[in-house]
Amino acid sequence: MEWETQIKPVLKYVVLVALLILALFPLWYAFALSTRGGVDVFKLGLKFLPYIQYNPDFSSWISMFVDWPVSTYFKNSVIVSAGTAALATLVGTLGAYGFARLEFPGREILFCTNLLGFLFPVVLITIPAFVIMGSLGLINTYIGMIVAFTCFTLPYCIWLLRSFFEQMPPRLEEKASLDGCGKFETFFRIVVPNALPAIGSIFMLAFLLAWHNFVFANVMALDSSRYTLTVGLKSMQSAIMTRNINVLMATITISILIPMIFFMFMQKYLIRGLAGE
Amino acid sequence: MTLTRKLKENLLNYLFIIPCSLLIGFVVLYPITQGLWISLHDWNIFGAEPNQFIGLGNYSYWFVGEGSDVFYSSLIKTGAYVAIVVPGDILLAIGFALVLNESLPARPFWRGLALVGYAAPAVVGGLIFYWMGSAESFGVLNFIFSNLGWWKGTSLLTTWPANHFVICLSKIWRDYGFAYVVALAAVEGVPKSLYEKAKLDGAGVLCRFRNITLPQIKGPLMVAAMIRVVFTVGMMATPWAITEGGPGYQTSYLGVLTYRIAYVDWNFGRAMAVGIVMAAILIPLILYWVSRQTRR
Repeated sequence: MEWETQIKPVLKYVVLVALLILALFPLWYAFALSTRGGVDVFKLGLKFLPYIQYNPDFSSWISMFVDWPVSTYFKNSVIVSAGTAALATLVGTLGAYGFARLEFPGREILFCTNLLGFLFPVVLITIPAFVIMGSLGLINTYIGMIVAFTCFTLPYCIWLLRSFFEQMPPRLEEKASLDGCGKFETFFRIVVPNALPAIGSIFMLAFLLAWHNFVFANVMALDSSRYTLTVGLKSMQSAIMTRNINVLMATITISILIPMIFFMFMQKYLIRGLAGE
Repeated sequence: MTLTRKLKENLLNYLFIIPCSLLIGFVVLYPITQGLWISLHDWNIFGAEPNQFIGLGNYSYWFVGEGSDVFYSSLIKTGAYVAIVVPGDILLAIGFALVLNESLPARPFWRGLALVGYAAPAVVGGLIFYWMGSAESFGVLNFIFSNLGWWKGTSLLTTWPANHFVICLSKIWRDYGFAYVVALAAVEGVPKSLYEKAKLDGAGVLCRFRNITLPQIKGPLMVAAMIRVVFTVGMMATPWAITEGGPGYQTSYLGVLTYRIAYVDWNFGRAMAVGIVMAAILIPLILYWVSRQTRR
């Protein structure tokens, strides 16, 4: 048997299919459980193939919006994630450009300081942040959550955007400054419009980072009116009777599918962004 | 004259980085210093009594006091957690990256699909594996383990080390995506000509992997592994969703323990102390990564 012509062409598909089944099974598991109505949740045991092994019941997909406050969780997640991403990309773009292109004393040390929050354990920051936000009366508010969430999204934005700006050819900016544009004018008129695709994809990454966060959201939200999707899911898990597990699983399925759609459509940008290039 | 002009230009340049630096100062640096201060107190979060300064009392509670059993067991378990999760991440990532670097029909689609775990919020990764490991009729991990004879009992989640193993699986599933994108970028960057040459020299496939692919992707993967160590220790959502650190303190890894002491026991002083010890362990890795990002 020849590796190049006979083994490899077959083996690569076998490995790919095996790996993808492993990777996709948990999502499929959640989806399959969401389609079991009522007592079927238990009765069907290890049958996970709707239509083939059993008749699916999609009532949980309606029930989660009607009987459970999932739409509130969604709304909160969208508001907080969009707000965080907007604040982080706005401030981050300005900062990243400064760190990439401009010269001033203490630049690298300030840059390092700005990156610190990316790897620093968030759970540790939540404790003093809870005290600080509490004294400012910002607990359980959207503003408080948005500001707090920048502690892990902003460093990420600055890090990715700086390397993007460094790779951007400086010709346009040089031309603009020869034409007499000031730094800010060059930045807003020339740099930002040219960098919009990158800024857009980094907005998405910051959005996802905020969307996925549990620990800070859980600390900042005191009651279910401010629960984000992740916090809401955990509280559903505690509140749910096993009989209602299909509702929980339906919510879980959407919480994965939405970022998944992002990944599919923006695969190229996002993969580059996630890899930190 | 030139001095003032230089000063003016510097000031103008600082305007770009002042907003983000102020925000970072407020949401990262100030809380960290405040946290150090909290760790020196018997901190009363509900404000009924004033916070009492107790020096290193919270630290001695964990290192030599009543909390030492919990603390040292948490430390060891965190090690056992990282030792399974990070290599698992990296191996899975290399596997995916190698296969998805081959020519395949609709390759971008499969590449995106392989990110499924990373699309899931960390807490959701935990919740799914919670039910997989549960003793319910659909607890698929429970079923597999008991049929393989690895497990005799009711639920995987109530006994050490079965619960630890379920948590590790869940964490790997949810997090390998990061190492995977790094590995994919690295594998793509290996020049094709190297393989062609090696083939002409008669090098076998394993030989090519060991001598060409591996040396080329080792650097980026080491950095990815380092980041994964920091995140595995520091993040608590996945294990929290599965066992909430229990039963007892069995699965209270350092991140989980910090969270639990803070928001279940509401003892901010002790939580901060254990958290700062965790940060102290991670700080060399964090600083190493941060310093790599600078240009000089």
